[in-house]
Amino acid sequence: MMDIIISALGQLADPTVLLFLLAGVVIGIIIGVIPGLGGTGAVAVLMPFIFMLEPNQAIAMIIGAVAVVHTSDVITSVVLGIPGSASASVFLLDGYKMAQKGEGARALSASFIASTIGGLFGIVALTLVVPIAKPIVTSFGSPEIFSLIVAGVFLTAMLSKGNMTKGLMVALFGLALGFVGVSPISAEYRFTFGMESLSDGLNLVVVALGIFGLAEMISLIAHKTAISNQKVDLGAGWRKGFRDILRYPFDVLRGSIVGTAVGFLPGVGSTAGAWLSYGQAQAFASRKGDSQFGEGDVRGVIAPSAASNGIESGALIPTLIFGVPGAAPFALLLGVLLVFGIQPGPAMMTKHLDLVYFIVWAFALASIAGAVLSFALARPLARLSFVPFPILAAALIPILFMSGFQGPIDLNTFYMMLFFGLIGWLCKACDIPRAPFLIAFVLAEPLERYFFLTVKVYEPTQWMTRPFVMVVIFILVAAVVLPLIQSHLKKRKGDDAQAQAAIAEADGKEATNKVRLVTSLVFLGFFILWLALATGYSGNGGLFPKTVGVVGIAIALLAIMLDIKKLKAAPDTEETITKWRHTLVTVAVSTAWVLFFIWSVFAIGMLAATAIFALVFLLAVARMKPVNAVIYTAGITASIWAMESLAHMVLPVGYLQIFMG
Amino acid sequence: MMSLSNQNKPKSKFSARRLLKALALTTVMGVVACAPPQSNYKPTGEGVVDVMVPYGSGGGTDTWARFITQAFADINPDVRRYQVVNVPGGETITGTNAFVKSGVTNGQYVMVGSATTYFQDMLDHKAVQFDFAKMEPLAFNGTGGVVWTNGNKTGIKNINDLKNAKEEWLYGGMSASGLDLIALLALEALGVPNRGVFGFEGRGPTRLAVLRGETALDFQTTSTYLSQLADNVKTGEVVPLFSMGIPVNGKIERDPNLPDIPTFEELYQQIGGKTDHQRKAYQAFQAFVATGLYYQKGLWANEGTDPAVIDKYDAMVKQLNADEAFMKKAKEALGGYQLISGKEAKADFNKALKVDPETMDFIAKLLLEKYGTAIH
Repeated sequence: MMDIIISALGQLADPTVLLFLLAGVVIGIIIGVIPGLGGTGAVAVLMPFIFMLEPNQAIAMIIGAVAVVHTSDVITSVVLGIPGSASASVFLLDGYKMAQKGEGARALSASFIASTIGGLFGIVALTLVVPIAKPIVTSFGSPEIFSLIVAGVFLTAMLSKGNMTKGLMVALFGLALGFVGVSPISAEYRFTFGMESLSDGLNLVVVALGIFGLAEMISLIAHKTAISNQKVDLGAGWRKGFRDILRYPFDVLRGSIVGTAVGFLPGVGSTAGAWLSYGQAQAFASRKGDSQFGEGDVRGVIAPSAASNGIESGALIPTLIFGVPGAAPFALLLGVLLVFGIQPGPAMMTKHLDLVYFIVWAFALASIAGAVLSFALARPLARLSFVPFPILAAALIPILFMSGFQGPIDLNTFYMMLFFGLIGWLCKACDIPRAPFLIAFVLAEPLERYFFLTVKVYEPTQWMTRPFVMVVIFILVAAVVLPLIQSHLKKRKGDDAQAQAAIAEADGKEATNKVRLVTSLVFLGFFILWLALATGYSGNGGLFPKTVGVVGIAIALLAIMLDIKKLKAAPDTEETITKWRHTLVTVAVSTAWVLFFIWSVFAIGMLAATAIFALVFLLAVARMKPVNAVIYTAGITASIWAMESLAHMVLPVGYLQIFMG
Repeated sequence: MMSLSNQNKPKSKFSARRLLKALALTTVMGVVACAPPQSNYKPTGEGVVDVMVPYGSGGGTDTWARFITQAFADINPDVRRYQVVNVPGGETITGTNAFVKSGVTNGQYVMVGSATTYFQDMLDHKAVQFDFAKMEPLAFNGTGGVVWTNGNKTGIKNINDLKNAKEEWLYGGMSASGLDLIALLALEALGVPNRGVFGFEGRGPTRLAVLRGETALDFQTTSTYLSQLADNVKTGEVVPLFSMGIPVNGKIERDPNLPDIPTFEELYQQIGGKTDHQRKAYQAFQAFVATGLYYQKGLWANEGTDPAVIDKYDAMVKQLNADEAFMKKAKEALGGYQLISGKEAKADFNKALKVDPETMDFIAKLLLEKYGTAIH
């Protein structure tokens, strides 16, 4: 065993591999900093490059990005009061308060160090679990994988933080879309409407880039000013943060444990995990009697930081050992591993153990490198948030679309990305979590596959009584029951964790209650249509779509009832309606800009369209000085050109290119 | 109160004139609303042959395409290199349609096809706009295969145990309308009671399933069998039942890589009193085993291609086959089998492509009723 561990380190010591690891770290740090774009965005942007690299290099790069994205997303949360990612919203409380007190540097340094320790803790856990995992793996069959996937889908939605109905509803929506394409068990086309673009199903990168990346941008483009108007003064105190870690080692440890455990359970997610960690740190602190939580207690930064990274490394466990994505970015990692013909799951333990340890080492190195880089870059990075978002958007829109295009090599992808971008924005506005959607979308096909593989091979009594399956069922039941118990306890303690949960999803939620109701109605309509279409498919091929349709209708009805109740309790005020209308208009304008870009690409191809779009956009929306705009546009266009010639990505062609032969 | 707030509201930036301008622009843009196709033929240039690969980059067929075209470029002074273009999508139909549409007949644009694409043609897929019977094959690379079982878990020692079974044995596969169809038709022709479970994600999982005892039967290519399974024959864990053999001068012979394993053809001929069902399955098998295995991967040119081009590839294939050093290097990439000249194999391949309507009906019915698989 030791020799495999050492040899894996040796594989990592290859300079090109280290180079790509570092590249991944740099990209992960940058994307983590940019508000809104998170781990999925980083991996999605990297994905096209994957095809050009050796497997070791590619995996190192992805791990590099994923390992550090939760290290740097704390920066904007602390410094500017804007969450770098959903899970980083937890830092808006104590972290931001500390910055306002002039202790920003202290908060950041404590966070970076805690993040690294949390990540390393998860890696150690993974290493320890791997040898024990082997015997489990050889007796690991379809029933075990199936039960775990069910757990993943289930838990994802269940832990949507007090938003269970909407979480379930959007998870079912994700499941439904995951069934578009050829059925893995009956080889029939489902929900493709005869369109070739859909016959292979919806592309994961396109969906992810749309619903997370583009959705963020559609909302943020609307704000023409910089994201923050505050003065940046991080203050002294970098060393103070370090001393805080030494003073509160148990908070670091508990945060790491919570994070790793949460990461281990597929689908729980980093947002829930970060908040859970915050909650437990607060509980322990008030018992200790010196709690300053809510006023700038550094433990409110340490615990979630350790947890966030612990989650990422803990999530490697189900991803690698069981083939089930432990977190949204790992859904993409799974896809990448499969591209290289590596079947994550039981096979990995027997065939690719050295790769597992390679990933372990890569993660560890990346965590440390990420912390170092974060320290070095905190100050200039924070300045990016002062750049008016339209300036960033001029570069990000072409890049995002370029990335999304690489998978299917089909320009209808652009429409799909925009479509998902709008759906993502709508979800944000209606406070519908999107992570359950993505994880359900990824797990839809495996869920169906392994269901049939299980029930066609075993009798129900045979597979449901297998030890692992029973353990998973138990965990699922506990996951439902425990939060109920916890919320009872919280009610007794008068904890304001609920109120804090309400603050969490800081941006978005502009939808009026009426709009939320309408959205739920739209979902209902979707599920009804879905069910109607599903009845046309064969017995086996139609089973899952029909089930999703039926359950979807039920949940949507429930959501509608809850929305009606909410509407009655808190009718929309003039203020909220005006705010919503304003948001709608700005989103429409953003969409128009994106359409302008898309149609330009259709007309004259990617390079020319990028140049024209960037220039016009910078002049009109960002109000940049013409000279600066031209220089910046040249830079953006050069980057796209570099993506084609250096990274061998495919450049979309327009009618102009076709016409010219 | 109301009026005050109205006065303080900022003046709307979206005046009617701006909206009109936006609308006009949108209309103009709307003209280009349809996405332009991305797979139109774009010749790379002098001395470069473009290769359409309707499969994802990095996959088995893509890797083979890159390998084999490199080999051809090395021995052809007229060609500097081959440029591979991946157009996955529409289950390989999109790229193939685009290739045929280009109508290039001077050999500057070729295509790589594999079993999946041939099957789309043979199974009459609605979106197919190509016809392999009309196209010109340049080179083929086939593969052999083995149907095997786990002797320790199923107690089966040879094919007769299987045929005389009282219950149906479970065959685990990826898709009944894919390569697994070949194995299923063979089992049906031999009269082996079986049922299928599909949706495994690859031949690795189907292999594990048999080793675990979840399923009883599986089909593996020769190279995988030899590298992963052959060693366990002596423990009784792996019991090869029959191989697909390879065609030699129109006859099916034992696979040179698997000399000890009887072929399906041998076993079928030994059966006295074949039922009508078995005969039909045998017919169907002949059609699909040729395109699916014997000529699995192929380099193709369009209908009406200059005969000089076809002859050139014929010569190159023979040259490569005779090159010992190359064959040694190519062992993994070619699965341990020789290259076949497209010109020579064309008649055989076309014969296999023609599935008569009666056999097609039989297959469609079998797939739907027995294996729950619908052909489009």
